[in-house]
Amino acid sequence: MEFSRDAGMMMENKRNVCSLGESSIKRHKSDLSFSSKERKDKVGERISALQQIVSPYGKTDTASVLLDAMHYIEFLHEQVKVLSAPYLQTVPDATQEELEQYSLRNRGLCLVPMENTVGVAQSNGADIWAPVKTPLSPAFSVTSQSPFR
Amino acid sequence: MMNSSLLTPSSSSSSHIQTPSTTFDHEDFLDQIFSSAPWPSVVDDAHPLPSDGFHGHDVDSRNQPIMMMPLNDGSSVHALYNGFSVAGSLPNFQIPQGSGGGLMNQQGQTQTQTQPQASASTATGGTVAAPPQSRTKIRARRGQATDPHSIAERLRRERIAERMKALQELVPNGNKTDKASMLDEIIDYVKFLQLQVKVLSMSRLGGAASVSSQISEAGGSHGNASSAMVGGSQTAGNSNDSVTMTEHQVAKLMEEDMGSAMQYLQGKGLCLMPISLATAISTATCHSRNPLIPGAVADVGGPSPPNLSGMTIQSTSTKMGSGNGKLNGNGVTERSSSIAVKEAVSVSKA
Repeated sequence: MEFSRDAGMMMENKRNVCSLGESSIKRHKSDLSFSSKERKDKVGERISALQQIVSPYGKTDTASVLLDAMHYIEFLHEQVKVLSAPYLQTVPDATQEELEQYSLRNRGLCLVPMENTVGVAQSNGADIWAPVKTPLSPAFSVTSQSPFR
Repeated sequence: MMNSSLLTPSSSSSSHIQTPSTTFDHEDFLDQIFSSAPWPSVVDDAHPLPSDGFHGHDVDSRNQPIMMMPLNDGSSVHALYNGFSVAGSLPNFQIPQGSGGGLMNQQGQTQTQTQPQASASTATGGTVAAPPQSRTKIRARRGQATDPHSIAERLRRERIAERMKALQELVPNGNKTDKASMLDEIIDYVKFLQLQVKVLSMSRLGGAASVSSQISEAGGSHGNASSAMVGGSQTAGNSNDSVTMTEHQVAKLMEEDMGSAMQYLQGKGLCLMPISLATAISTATCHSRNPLIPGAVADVGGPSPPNLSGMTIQSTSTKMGSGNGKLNGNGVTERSSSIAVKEAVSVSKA
């Protein structure tokens, strides 16, 4: 009886191997299921990365991270709207053409490639609250020359 | 109530069976189902099952291993895993790491498989003699009372799927079905929005001077200068039609829906910036170029080279244009304008 059981298990294993090979060639779902562990790890890493930038001190389960991401994106949209409101409240002149009404430059805004704003993103948040510097000529020259010395 | 509760375990069980290719053991299991419980709607349930199984598999996440902790009889469970191994391991009772992970995924996806195995180990003392009969008997017994763990797992997956769908509407390129790619889009979009908020807030609070100096330090001086010059020329009035159309589109979208405007800008690789801040960056870049030219340093007292004087004139014209733009703004913008005027005075002195 033990020999028959081992033979049956070996036959089942062989069939499983053959069936997996055939299914991987035919279907794409089998590939997904075959590499499910890799996909799961990738998704887990991305959930952790998203949690770090959305709610670093919040809950860590997937549903909570996704909910915090939704709320944070909506908050950032409102933030951009509030910061842009002083520029957008400009009332265009009646003499201007209708196309000119949607001009950004008349409102004091412009578009800049994101590569040029990397320095702004990397700057320290404390700079936002620093007092306005008076650009005197000697201080300005010292400031401009110091990085290269 | 009775019918719905009865159908749920059978549907999940069938989904698990149909996900891999059919084998002799699974066919025997299907025969057992049809012989023991003749349900007329089984054929209808079998049609949507593959997509349902795929959806459940797609929503899977890294929190699956937590569900495996409350299980008892670890050794007997491992023995059962060996019997149902998908990777086709040999009859030795050792499960490799990779196949173990796969089995855990299967356990997480299909809840009906867990119940028969646990009950089988309890009933038969850990042997793998007759799994089909044990499954049929146990499922018939458990059909009336659905396992609370399976209900909780199903609710969790549904909640995650709903939130992923809601995030797709907020994020550009949200039509992707792969969960990993979808998360990448969400992460990139959140980073872009954070950058946009920071750029707009710095200009309003008067941090333009320090920001411009840091930009000069961070980026390469030559590359930053050339790109700033291009930006300056565009601001001075030599803009292309495509840039003008993009600006009109952004301004229109900002009045209608801020979310759409932000998605449009990220797609173009652009960032919205006040002209006062862009002018300050351009000025700082011109100043930072002075030490790189030995002749300019030597001729501080004498007349400046024509190239440098041209840059100064261009910066001045840029400020004049930005000044006109800022006349329509509020007090904060006017203060930025005064700062720009002071910088112009310092440029003329230097």
